[in-house]
Parts: sequence; C-alpha cells; structure tokens
Amino acid sequence: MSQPETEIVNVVVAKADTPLHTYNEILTLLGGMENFVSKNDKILIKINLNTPEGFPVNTSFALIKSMIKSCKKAGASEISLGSYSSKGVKIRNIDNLLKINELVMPLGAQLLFLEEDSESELLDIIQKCDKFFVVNQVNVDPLFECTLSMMNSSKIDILNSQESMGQDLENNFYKKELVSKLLDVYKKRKPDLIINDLYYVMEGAGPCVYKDSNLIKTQLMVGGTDPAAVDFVTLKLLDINPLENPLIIGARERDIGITDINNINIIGVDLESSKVSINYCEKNLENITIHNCKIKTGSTCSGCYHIAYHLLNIMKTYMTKDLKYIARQSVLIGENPPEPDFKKNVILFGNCAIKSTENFSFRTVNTSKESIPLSKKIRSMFNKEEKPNKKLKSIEKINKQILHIVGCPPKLNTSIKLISNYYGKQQVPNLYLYYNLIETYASTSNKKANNGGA
Amino acid sequence: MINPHFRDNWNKILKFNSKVEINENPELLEEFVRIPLTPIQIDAFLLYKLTELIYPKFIHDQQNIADFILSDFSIDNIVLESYVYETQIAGIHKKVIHLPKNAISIAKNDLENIQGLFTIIQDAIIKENGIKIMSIRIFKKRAIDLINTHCENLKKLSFNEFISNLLDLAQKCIEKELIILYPEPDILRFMRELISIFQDIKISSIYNLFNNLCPSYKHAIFFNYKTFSFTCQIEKDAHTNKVEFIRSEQSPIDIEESRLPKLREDNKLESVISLDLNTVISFLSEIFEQKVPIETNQMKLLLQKFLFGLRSFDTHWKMYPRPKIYNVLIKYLLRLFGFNVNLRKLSHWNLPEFIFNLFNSNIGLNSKILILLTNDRNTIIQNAILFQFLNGSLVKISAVNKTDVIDKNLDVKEIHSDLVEKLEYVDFIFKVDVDLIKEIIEKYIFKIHNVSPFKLYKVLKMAKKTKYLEVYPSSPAYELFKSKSPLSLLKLVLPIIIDKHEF
Repeated sequence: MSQPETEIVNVVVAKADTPLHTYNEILTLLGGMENFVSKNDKILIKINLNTPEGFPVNTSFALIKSMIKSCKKAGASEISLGSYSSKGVKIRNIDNLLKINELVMPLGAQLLFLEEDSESELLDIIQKCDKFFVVNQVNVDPLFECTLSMMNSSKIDILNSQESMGQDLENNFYKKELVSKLLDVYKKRKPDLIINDLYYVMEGAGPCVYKDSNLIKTQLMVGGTDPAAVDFVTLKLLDINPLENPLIIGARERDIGITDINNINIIGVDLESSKVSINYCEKNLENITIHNCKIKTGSTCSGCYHIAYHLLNIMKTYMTKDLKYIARQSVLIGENPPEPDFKKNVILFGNCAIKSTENFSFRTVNTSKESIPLSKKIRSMFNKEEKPNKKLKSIEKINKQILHIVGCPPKLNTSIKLISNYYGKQQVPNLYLYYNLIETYASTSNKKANNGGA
Repeated sequence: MINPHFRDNWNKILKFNSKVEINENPELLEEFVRIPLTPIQIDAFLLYKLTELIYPKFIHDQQNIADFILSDFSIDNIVLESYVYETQIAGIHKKVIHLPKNAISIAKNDLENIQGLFTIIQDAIIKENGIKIMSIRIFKKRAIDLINTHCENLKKLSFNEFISNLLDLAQKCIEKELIILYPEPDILRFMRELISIFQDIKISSIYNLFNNLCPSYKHAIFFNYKTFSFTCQIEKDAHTNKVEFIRSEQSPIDIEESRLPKLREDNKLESVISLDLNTVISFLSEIFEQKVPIETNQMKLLLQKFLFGLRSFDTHWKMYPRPKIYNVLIKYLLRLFGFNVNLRKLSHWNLPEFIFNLFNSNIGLNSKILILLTNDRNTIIQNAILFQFLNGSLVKISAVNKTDVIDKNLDVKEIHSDLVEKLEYVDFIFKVDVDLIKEIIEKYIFKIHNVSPFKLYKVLKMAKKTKYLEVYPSSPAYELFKSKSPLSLLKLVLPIIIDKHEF
C-alpha cells in the first residue's frame, strides 16, 4: 500500500526519571492506551526474547508488565506475548528457565511459542489479533547499527538461520535477504503501537552481553503508530543517518511507513538537544582485539561478518585464558583473506574463506628429514672415519592444524562446538563451559518439557 | 563537653605520645591505654606505631590539625570549642592548644564553602599561634553527644553490643555529615558512598548477621611490618567475642615460622595467620580510593589483587598449621584422579573476568536480586535483602519488609509474584539456608587450615539440594550447576580456576 504524500504521523519522544515514568509519558502523549485498545480486543505484543539472559538482551519485564496492565485497564480481553529467539534456543526453553508465563499469566496474559507455528499459522495469529503492539529494546547491532522495532517482528533466528550450502551469499545479499524477511510481515500487518525502549542502551558490543558491552542511560523512549517513522526518529536520536540504514531503505523501497522527516510530527522532547552519542559495534572485524589471536579478513559478505562478529566477541569474552595457552590462533574470514602469520591453529570461517584459500601456502607444511641410505648408515657404524653425507629431504604435508567452519554464513552454535571439539575440552576449558551452558539450557528445558513441563 | 572516660584516656595517649620522643627506648615503656571509642586495651607504644603508620595512609599525611566543635543551632558564630594539635609526625597527637572562645568564628553559611573556610582558619591560626595547620576536623555538637552517649555505655555493653553501637555511631555521623574532615580523606568519602548504597540497612545489623553465621573460633592474626609486629587475637564462643592486641617483643626479623607454632600452643589457638601489614594497608588504600558504586572494571582489578594475595601462600601470608590443601602428597593424589587443586596456581588474572562475564550474561547488566535467608533447613525466612545492579555494578542494598507472603510462605514462586508487584520487578530470588552459609564460612574462612577437596565436594553436594539453595526463575548457570554431579562440576570448573602450567 502506498502512503499518500501528505500523510503526517505522530512520533512521541519522552524523557523521564525512570523507565516506567517514561513509558507512561509516551502513552499520555499518544492519548492514552484507550486510544489504541477497545473493549474485548485481542492483543498481540511482540517483545525481544533472544536468549535466557538478563536485561538488556531481552525487553525489560517491568515494562512488559506495565504494558499488559495498561492494556487490561483499557479493556483488552486477551493479551498474548510473542517473540523469536536467537542462538538456537526455543522460546519454550527460555520460558522454562525464566518462567515468563508464570509472571504474565496472573496479569491475564500468555506467552506464545511462535517458532512452533508454521509461517501461515503465524501470519494468522498476527492478522487475527485486533491490535498488534511492538515493544522493542534498542541495543547496538553489528548489521543494522542498532536493534530497531522493524527487526523485532519476523520469524528469523538471526544467529542460527538456515545456511545456504549450495551458493555463497555474496556481499550484501544476506543483509538484503534479512531485510526482506524482516519487512515481509509489515506488508501483511502493520503494528498499531510501537515503542522503542532506549532508556538504557547497550553500546560497544551487542546485542548480547559481551566483554566490551556497556550500558548507558539515555532516559529516552520513542513511541508511535508507524514502525518506519518510529525507527527513523530512534536513529536520529542515536545520531545515525536513517537514510543509510538498510531497514529504513528497505521500508522506503517497499513503501512501508513514513521515512520522510517532513511527514513526521515529533511530539515531546526536542530531538536535536536529546541526541545521544554511543559506541557502535566494530565494523572492521580485524579491529576486535583478542589475546593471541590474529584476525584476517578478505572480502566478507554481510552474513559471514554478522556471525563472525558474534563468534569473535564470544572468543574475546570467554577464551582469554584458553588462548593464553593455545598461544597462536588465526581466524580467516571472507574471500581471499591474507595469509595467516602462523600455520598453527588456523580457523577458516565460512565457505568463502575455505574455497579462496585452497592454494594458499599455509595449507601445506614442509618438514625436512635426513635422508641417508641404510647401507651407508651401517658402514658408518663400523667405520668411524667414514661419515655419511647427510642429505636433507624436504617433504610437503597437508597442514592438519586447520579448522574448517563451513556455511555461508556458518551457524554460531555449530561454530562454537567445532572450535571446542578442535582444541578439546582440556585445551579450552572456558569455551567448553560456555558451550555446556548453551547445551544445558537447551537440553534441560527439553527434559523438563518431556517430563510434562510448560 | 567531652565524656570524662574518653577525655582521660585521650589525655593518657597524648601524654604517652609526648614521652616517646624523649625516651631512648620507648618500646620498653609498659603502658596501656584504650583504643579511642572502644573498651579494647592496647599497649600504648603499639597504638603509637599503628597511628604513625595508618593515619598518614588513610586520613591525612601532613602535620598540624585543628579541631572544631560546632553548635547545631547558632547561625552567626557556631564554634563552641576549638583546639589545635601540633603534630610533628602526621597523626601523632601530643600537645593540645585550647583556643580561646571567639578566636575563630564560623558562620553556618561558611560550611557551604569548606575550602574557603579552611584557608580562613589556616590564616587565623598562623597569625594567632604561629602554627600552620594542614587539616581541619569539624565535629557537630550532635556528633559529640552521640560519642558521649557511646562512651558512657561502653562499660555496660558486651563486646558485640559495643561493636554494634560503634557501627551505628559511625553510620549516623557519616550519613548526616556530623563529622567533616578537610581535606576529605578517601576513606571518609568511600564510607559515605558505601553507606548510601545500604539505604535503610544498618551496618550493625550486617555485623550481627555475619557474627551469627560465624562458628565459635579462636584464631590469631600475626601482623608483620618493617619496624614492629603484633598479634591480633580474635575469639568467639557461645556467649561473646573478644579481641586482643599483643605487641611482639621480638624484632620482626626474628619472628617467622618458629613463632607461629609457639603462639598457637601458648594461647590454645585453632590457627595462626601471619600477614604482611604493608600489603594489607596497600590493598585497603586501593579499595578506599575507589568511587562507590565501584565500576565493574575496577572491581575486576581489586578481585585480581585479592586472588593474587590468596595464591601467594608462603610469600604474602603464612598459616600454622599449614592448610592441608597445600600438602604435596594430597595434591599429587588428586592430580592422579584428574583434579588439579594447586591453589598456588589460582588463576587470579582470569577468574574475575570470567566470574563477571558469567554473571552479566546470566543475570543481566541491570538486575534486582532478592536474597532470602532461611533458617532450620528452609522452614522460616529470616531475612530478605534486595541487591540492585546497574551496568553490572552493585548500586543499592535494601532490606525488604516481610510481607504476609514472605512471612507465611516458603514457595519462591509465590514470593516472586508477590514481590514483582511491590518492587516493580525482581529478576531473581536466591533462597539460601543459613546452614549452607555457615558451612561455607566455617569451612572456607575459619577452618581453612583443614579445608580439603572432600569438604568442597560436601559443600557442593549440599548446595545442590533445594532445601539449602533455590534460585527462581532459573538461569543457564544454575541449571548447569544442578544438572552436573559435584565431581563432574569440579572437573569442569577446576581447569578454569587453576592455571595449567606448574612453572
């Protein structure tokens, strides 16, 4: 649907002393929840529930609770919460750990396990609900600068999406594909209320908690009825040019929402004076400094960049001690990366790196061996004066100290497992424990589910 | 104005301090005084040496001090009493000059600009007395009243009551700014910021809680410094606690390992720990330099230093009897079974980083954690304390009033849903039985000389039982902890805790 050029949408920017006061301010400026919810409405609230980790990886539960309460107060009859996770964890498993249903059920809401529904069922859920709200936690993101509300609504496990083994995804194909998948849902149904919560924003490394992650307090929230406009203003607040953001570009190309500042009426605090400056994710993977690890990148597609970014940050966070003992490790990413400095422990990340380095010198190792004929050796044993002429024979062998992580992009969890297996648990106890943690919450929750858990 | 009990003791200290310089062998003077504000008797020379060492490091390292007692009610001139101490050695008070009334007048508004006030006072004292003071201590009359009441009660109170009273006094004086020091020492700023974290919790109640969790013990800590050494003997039995300071007559060089067994035997102690006083003071000064809430990176650094100290057994600290865990044969046998428990190889450089990363990713950067302390193996809830973290730093500790749900219920799920309403949101509830804490404190602090991997195994086994420890909602780390047997948990964690290479 194309927007009429003259349509002007309201976007509210609120600032207050606590997150809940800011949320209330947003609602007040938007005319109250009654403006969005009618009596007996069925409401779907889309939240961030990425991994069983704490805030700000997931949407603030205090905020979710307040939203459920205000919907109930406005007369909603049925409230459902929905999300898709990342790192290969199912929402059901996250719920088994964090007990979200036990928290929201007494308030009259329930958490849906959306990933268990097929695409069509999912669209059904979204289309059949009377009102569709999005509450999105804003953090830095390696691919889209920050996690925007428009990233929140599609069925993609962004870090463990099905890899394309047949054809490599070149350049920005992955990003474009992702944008297309993310925006698809808006063609069917646009949310009725969007809140971008940037009261606290994770900067440095994100959107999961890593060593370089830092939380800054902006005291801001952005709300409105148009997802593109809300994200546009959010980017403006974070001092990013929205017209360079792939999601905004995608929305503009697909004619989803308002992406022209002239058609956005900003209510609340002044945009210019409220701008915040934060540290974004490292764009150049080679600049991620990991102890005893050299990172070499060639021409990297957005998919490999995205997953490698997370993998390198996990290495930086959990492998400091492991890498102290390993001493030499190289990670090659992308097409035609430079030769590694050492031939030991070379991790080839992604199909591009594996294929393009097939003829590189680090693929083989030369060993030299003394070659003396046996007869001469025996003779020299009896006759000490006769010394055999030593000849050094050079043998070229395949370098076995290379780890191939296939896929374009490879899955994050598989990559961690492969690295852990390559070195062995004795060599990388920290990474092994991290891998155990990931495995445990998947398996424990499955076990509980099998035993009749939620 | 000042309590006579306190004044007499203070005068005795001043008198002794003035004798030290003129005496050829001051260490031979056998005089005893009380540590100010406490009933603890101490060798006067030991107190002199300790003040000489500690005061410049923690309070102020320049000479000459002026004390002022200010009225709480006057406006124009609020000075009630003023004194000047000429201190040739920073902190060693010898002679006091009582300034005449109206020698220095301070208006209530002057306190708003303490730096300007200091300069005025400094100039006035140079002019009148020819002494250049380098620091001032301001006591509001209310502080003096509190000190007087505290001193009056000293004789009547038991040791634990005295400590509680002293902590309450310090908390009130710092919180309400009844005592002002200029230039402000780091320790005072640190304490003020720390107290603000505790919100409505009295520091004395934390002391009492910790004291109740401690088993009966009788230990001695032997402090060693370049020029002197002393023993601090601490004892707790069923009825009371005791602290005693004994100055060592031998020179510090003579003391070492040979002295520890004798000291233990003579005083029938459980163990004797020998610590280098300089190391302890350096570590404490580093802590006091921190801004509270302490940032995560600073916290990691402090923890690294503490762990480095812990792993430096035989260099930075000694213990008699030697902890079993350092026994070579035990270490060797355990290694044969695949457990490397060489505490000298404690991974001090990696462990803090690992702990904080694990905490931040499991709990979140901002979180509220409620600790419920239960009694009698999970039958009664004794305390409910809420810890609030912001960007990974602890910013608030508050006591949660027992609601009907907490009082009558032990189900964490119901407590969680009740408190989520009252406290906006609670991320995690840790229900811990005091028996488990007592076990940990006893085994790992007070009976560390006896600690062995088998005891560690026993504590781990205990912690896995929900009657001792329960976390709601769960977290990946807690699920992993519960899903593994104590032995496989040790196998998983020990390579992270202990460094790999022996050399």
